[in-house]
Amino acid sequence: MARPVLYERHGAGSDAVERELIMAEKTLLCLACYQNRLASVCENADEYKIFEIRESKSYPAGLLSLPSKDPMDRTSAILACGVTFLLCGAICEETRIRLEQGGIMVFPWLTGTVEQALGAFMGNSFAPLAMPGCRDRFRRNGIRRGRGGCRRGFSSDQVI
Amino acid sequence: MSFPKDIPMHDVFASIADGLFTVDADWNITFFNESAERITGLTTAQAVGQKCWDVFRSSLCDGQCAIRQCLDGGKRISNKSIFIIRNDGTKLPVSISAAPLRNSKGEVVGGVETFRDLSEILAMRRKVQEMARFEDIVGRSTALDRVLKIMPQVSASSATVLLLGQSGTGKELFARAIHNLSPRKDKPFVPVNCGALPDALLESELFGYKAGAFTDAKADKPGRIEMAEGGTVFLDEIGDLPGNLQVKLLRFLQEKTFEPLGGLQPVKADVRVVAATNRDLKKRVAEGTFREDLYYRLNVATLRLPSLTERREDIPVLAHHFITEFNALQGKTIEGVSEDVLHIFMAHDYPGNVRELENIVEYSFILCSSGFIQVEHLPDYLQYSTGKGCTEGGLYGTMDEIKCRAVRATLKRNNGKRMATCRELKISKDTLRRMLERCPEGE
Repeated sequence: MARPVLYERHGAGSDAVERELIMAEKTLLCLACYQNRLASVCENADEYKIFEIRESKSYPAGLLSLPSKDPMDRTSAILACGVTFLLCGAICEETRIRLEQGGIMVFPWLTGTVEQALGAFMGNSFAPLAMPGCRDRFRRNGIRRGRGGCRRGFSSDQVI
Repeated sequence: MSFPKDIPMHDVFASIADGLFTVDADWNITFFNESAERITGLTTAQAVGQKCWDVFRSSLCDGQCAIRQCLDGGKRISNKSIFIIRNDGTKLPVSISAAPLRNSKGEVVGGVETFRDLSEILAMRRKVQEMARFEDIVGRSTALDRVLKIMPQVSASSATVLLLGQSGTGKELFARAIHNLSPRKDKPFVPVNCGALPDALLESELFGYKAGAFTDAKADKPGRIEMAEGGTVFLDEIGDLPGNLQVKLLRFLQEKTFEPLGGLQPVKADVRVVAATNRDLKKRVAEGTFREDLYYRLNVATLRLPSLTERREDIPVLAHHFITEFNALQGKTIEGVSEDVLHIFMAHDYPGNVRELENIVEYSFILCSSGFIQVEHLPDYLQYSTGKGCTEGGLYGTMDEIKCRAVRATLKRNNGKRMATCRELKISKDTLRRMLERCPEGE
């Protein structure tokens, strides 16, 4: 079972605080898109593209087309799909909190095409896709391999 | 008039209080002024060379870009209220204007967008909103203030009150306010719509009936006047009261007693009467359809409620009030109305008064799920009121836009006949041709 491990590093000299997330077997990644790129504002996205992540590869797993722009409607729809991670552009703090309270790990302030976003996720580095003025949010922590074959070390640039 | 060539444009743009940025044909930002830095929180170095949607992050990016609308439609956009998302995740309301940029050959080479931070204006509007409330009556216009000033004294007395006002001006709201400010506020407030009930039912409804008064009258039933004992009865549409009931009401006002239907003994009632009508009662008295003695009994304290067009300055406050109410009812977070919608609201004539404005906002809530209510969320008759836009009280937009609408409306009225349009507008054929060339299709 894939068990992503997330690092939080508080300042350059401090010890890393490890957080483990017990995930279901299936990891579902959602991209808030406009046409073939990440929407500049998550709430503007006209499509939420869903990918299943299995053994370091991504497989298209569906598409959520939401005509309603109501943030609460969209949050409920995304939560209902069982999404684990969400990659998006700019996002209102309240929408982000609502999604994270629902158990979704949100990686906002990203820009790029769908392929670039998937590549960044699989390569564990989002800094190259940071929106202008947001590069400081992403501090790379490197990859860590977990114990046992079934544990895959997964680190991401912690978004602050 | 052409712009002087030796003026340092950079200094001109740096001095503007509004944010300003320009983009090239590939949507890359080519200029970003200091106010844009202040409003967005991004520096010029971070913005220039980036795609505008990655920098501006507005509710219009991703499909409704204002600059793209300009480039596609060939027309400028002005004063559109939207929001942008700053780096800290806060939503900032802004008003934007956009226009295409053309080179000396007239070819489009990019676009320019200016934007203004509306957060202070909206905060001030909210403050005004809080101040502009008296009981449940929203507004602080001069016309309304004249009525609100005397309401406390009118309420404190036990005099009969007659409210005069057009349909939709809030007569029941005022009646309730009078009751709530009076010593009777802890007793019942009972409204009766005299125009809504058939004449035969109205008497029994107002004065009640005794058992056996008619078939199926198996037990005594108190009327609305008796139910309002100690409090206030509100008689709406008093102008529609039939003749026989006018007599009974007059007796009640004079002696504070009445006889229920089928009753033998008079019943005393300590009830204050507040009546309302949108009819011209004096005219009805002259016509003989309303009793003169009753008119003078009702006309002790008369309050004339202003129509919405007489208190236009209350329109923004009222619109905001309705938006707050509907947000609470429907669980939405609509920020307000955009500047161009506000212009339309201020110019409209409101034959249905405040009730019509409430209906318009309620309709807009169907189409607008978040952000600001835009023109496309309004009912059709407001969106396409191009004819009204050219008449007194209906003017909004820039002078060029008003002229375009006038020309198009006149052309349509004359079934596309140019000579007839020229005659109506008293302009030459060449002038009409030039105006039509300047007006984009569909404007």
